[in-house]
Amino acid sequence: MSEQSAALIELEGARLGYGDKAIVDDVDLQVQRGDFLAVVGPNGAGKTTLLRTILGILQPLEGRCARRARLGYSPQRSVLDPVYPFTALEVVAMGLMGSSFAPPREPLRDIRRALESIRGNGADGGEERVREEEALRACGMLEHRDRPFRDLSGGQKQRVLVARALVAEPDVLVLDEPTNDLDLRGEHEVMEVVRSLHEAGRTVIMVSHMLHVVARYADRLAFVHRGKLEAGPARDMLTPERLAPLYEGMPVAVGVFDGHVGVAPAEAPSRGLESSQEA
Amino acid sequence: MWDTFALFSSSYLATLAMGLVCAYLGVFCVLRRIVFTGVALAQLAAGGVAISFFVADLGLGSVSRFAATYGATWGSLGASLAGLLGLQARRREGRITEDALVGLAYSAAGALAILLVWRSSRGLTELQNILAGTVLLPQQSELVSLAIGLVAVAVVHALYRRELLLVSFDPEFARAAGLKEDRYQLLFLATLAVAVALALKAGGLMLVFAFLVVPPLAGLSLGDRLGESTLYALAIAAAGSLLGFLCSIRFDWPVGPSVALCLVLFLGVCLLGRLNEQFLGAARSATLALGALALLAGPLALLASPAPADSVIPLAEAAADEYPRTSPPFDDEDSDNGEDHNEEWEELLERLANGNSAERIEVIPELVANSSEALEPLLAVVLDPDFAVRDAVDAALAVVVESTAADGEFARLLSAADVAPLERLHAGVGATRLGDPRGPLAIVDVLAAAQDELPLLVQDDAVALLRQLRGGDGFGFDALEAPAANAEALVAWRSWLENPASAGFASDQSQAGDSLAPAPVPGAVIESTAATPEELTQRLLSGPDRLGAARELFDAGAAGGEILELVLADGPADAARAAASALPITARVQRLGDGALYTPIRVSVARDLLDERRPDDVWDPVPALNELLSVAKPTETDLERVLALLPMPAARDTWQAVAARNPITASVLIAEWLRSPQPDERVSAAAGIAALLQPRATFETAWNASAPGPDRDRLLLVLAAESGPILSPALLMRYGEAGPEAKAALLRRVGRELDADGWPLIGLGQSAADPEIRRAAREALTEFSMARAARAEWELMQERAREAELVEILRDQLSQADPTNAANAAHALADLGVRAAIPDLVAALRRDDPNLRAALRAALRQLGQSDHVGDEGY
Repeated sequence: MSEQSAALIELEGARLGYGDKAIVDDVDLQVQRGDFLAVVGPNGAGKTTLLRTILGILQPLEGRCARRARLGYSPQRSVLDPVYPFTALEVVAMGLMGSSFAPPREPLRDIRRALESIRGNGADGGEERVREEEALRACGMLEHRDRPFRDLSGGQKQRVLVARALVAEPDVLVLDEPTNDLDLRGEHEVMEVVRSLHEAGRTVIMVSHMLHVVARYADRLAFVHRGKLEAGPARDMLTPERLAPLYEGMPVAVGVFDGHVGVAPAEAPSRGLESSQEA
Repeated sequence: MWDTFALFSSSYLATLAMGLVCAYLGVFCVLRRIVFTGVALAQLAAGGVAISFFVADLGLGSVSRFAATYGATWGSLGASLAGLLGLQARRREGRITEDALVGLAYSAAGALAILLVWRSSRGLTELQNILAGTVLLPQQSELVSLAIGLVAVAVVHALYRRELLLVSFDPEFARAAGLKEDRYQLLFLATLAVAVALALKAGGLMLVFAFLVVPPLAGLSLGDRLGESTLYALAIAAAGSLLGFLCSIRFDWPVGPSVALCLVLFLGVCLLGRLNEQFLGAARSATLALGALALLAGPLALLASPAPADSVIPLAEAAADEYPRTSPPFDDEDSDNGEDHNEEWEELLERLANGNSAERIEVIPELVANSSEALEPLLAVVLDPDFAVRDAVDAALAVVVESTAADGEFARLLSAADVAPLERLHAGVGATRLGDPRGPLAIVDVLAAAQDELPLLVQDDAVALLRQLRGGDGFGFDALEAPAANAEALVAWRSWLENPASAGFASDQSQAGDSLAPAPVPGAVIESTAATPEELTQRLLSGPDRLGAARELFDAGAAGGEILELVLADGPADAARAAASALPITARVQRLGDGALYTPIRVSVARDLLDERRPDDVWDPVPALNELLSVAKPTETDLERVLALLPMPAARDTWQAVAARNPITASVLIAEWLRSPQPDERVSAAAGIAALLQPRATFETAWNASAPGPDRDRLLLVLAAESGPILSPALLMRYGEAGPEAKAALLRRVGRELDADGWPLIGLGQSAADPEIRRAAREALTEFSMARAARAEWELMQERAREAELVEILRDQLSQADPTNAANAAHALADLGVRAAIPDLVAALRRDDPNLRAALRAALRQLGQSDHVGDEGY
């Protein structure tokens, strides 16, 4: 029991959804300090609903959701409109808002900053600037701090968003689909950053539908499927028997590739789309 | 221009303030992709204004009065905020997309706004102003509410900028960070709604939209970062306001479109700037510099603008210097020694200025009696179109200049540099005709200094006089040519005049001086030159002295007339204009009206015509007026020409056109006129207000421009008599400040218009101390009760007419074949008590049907004719 009460995040008999519509029911989940939990499931199963409940954006319809930690959130890249001309640093600075590190309210600060940036002397931003640059460095993005966010590659954008989640020094990083639409290199760079942060002691909760990524980095898995949540250690969860129902009974093969667990469709039912994906 | 700018400084400040706030919010709107939400809010605000007009017109007592006073601002604010709540509520639902809802709000509010005010003349014009964007001297109360609202918006954004940016960019993250995201969204939209509603009231829909979209786009294209971009957007909004305002004053454009266009031009430059790094740097610096200049211009203009009551005086003086009146200038100097003027003298001047030829000739000798003051009025008519009048003037001048005072003044007019060109030319012409050698020199000097400012035909007249001195040779001076082209001729003239040895003038002068004979009419001289038609045609086509050549051709009869026609139809513009000037006025008017002249010369012919016009002329000036008003860019002098005809009823429509085209110029001129010492001009100004498109705004301008007391009373007096119902509320509001005479006039107006809003004033008027006011109140009351009685009587007559018609039908029924119908008719007639039908009833008793007979008897009994009932047994 004592171990349970130490859980950073704890959902108990929770029914998650919007209005009177439940999407995932009867959720029991604990996230302990140092966990790397991956939430997996097909599109529309309720992964994001779970995430929003954990973040406190959404209240459970029934049951309870307890948070005993500060959370740092990185949303999906695709929801951010590229029309905004923010620099990487400015995006990271947003992460301080609402936290105890937020700079004091100063009405004309932005005008002063704009004038400084036009004159070309980016004067020191004080304590919060140090913090922002530290977060960027931790994500390997410090040299890109003054570049427009919209001009960065997908992987770089994602790392800036991780830095933003990191800047207010949270206990738990909450990442929503961080590797979506990234090429292999981008995916690798993002996940290496996440792994280094995890190894430095941060708890990570990550939503993804990319099983091969999840299999490689996460130590715990939660499957969200047909309104239910199942959670367990990664190695217990990554079996063909447990994975198959997740994909409407499509047989799934689990193997070891280059020292890492890999997941793939067991056999192509026809020489259609799946086979070309394999290639 | 600077004076005008200073006069409109409060307008400019309002534009600047709304521009800055809208541009700042526009950056958010563009980034959030909700530009059309801003526009829909503005359209809703316009709907709110329309509702307030509608309520004000309903006649609901205090509610309507409140709506009339404060409704527009609160209506626009309320509707805009309500709209935003509607849009905000939608965010939770999700069946209708947001932009569709925005479109719905836009079209519904637009339609409603127009329909609500469709029957209200006041509302419709004001609403059109709002939609078209005319910023014209906003009232003090409007400026205050604008300032309060915009400052509130600015403060909110200064405090919560980072939060508002975050919820715009990444609302989900904001919520995860624990911010009350939906409250901030509401806060942003509320600031947008407030700013848009207030800006709409002050600057119009077009301007709001332009400020919301264009500066942000330009700023975002100039800057790499959000902060920089915002700063550039603000600078461009300010610079566009300044440039647009100056354009509006310089070219007489309406402010809204003018500012909007300047903003778009800036955007174009900024987009070009993206092509080249170097150019981009220059564009950035220039934008910031212009923006700073525009910001400074506001307070500077405000400092330069005098107190409201006096604001028009420097303007009027400047205008008087720049644009000499074409009508006789009995100007301010009259008022200096006004005590000496008895009414008789005033009347003489009035008749000289506005009487017909015969009257003028009659008046001129009488002026001589007061020689020290007759000089100027006489000189003003020295070029009268009627040569008989000129003769009289010459004779009178000869007597007047005998007096030393008048002679000193004459010398001043001839040589002083500060005399208006036209006055100096008149003096020169007068002196020349008196044989005074200073005269021709004055004419040459004035032509050299200010040829541009003199009406064409006046120049021509004066030069014809000079030519006579040299037997018809004018050194090639041509009034149609630009001043530069005539410089040489004038130098030649001058050296000829200054050389006493040169044959002509000295001897001429001695002759003229001896005889004091009026100068011979130009025609006489022309005959002596005896040029062939070929030479004349050549001169007409290529100068010199095209006007003289045209006149000679006209005098030469049919052959010359044919040449003139040819040149008119196909000649070069200058020659055609000269040819036109030789035609009689009526012929020119007719050609203008028929559209027989080709375009390039139409306007100049119209200008010449109006310059020649005298108040008693009977020809129709409307074709010429229309011509001037069709000019894309009428000059100030054109406007003067138009305004000079204002007292003519036929010219009223042209006021509408002036006002529509140049609202600023029109109201400036009116304000100037109101300060004029001439009662005529003040009356014209008031009548101008009555005829203007924006009578209320102009009335307020005029009211503020005139001093409390007699001036304002006069304004009220004229407007009470002349203006239409649109002005009623504005006029009645001033009742408390009016003098007794004006109060009485206002009350009579209430009675005349049966204006229910003025009803309470009648009560006030009846208890007034002044008997005139009480009489006016009684008269108004009588009008009301007569109207009421007339209405009651009319209704009674209607009723009777209906009855009579019915009786006719019933009586007709009595003789019908069907006995049942006849019986029914008998009953009905009895019920109506129509005793006139008794003979018909009796006649019908002869019919056989027993039921009918019973009915007839019953009817007769009912009508009290029982003696006929006795024939029962019969």
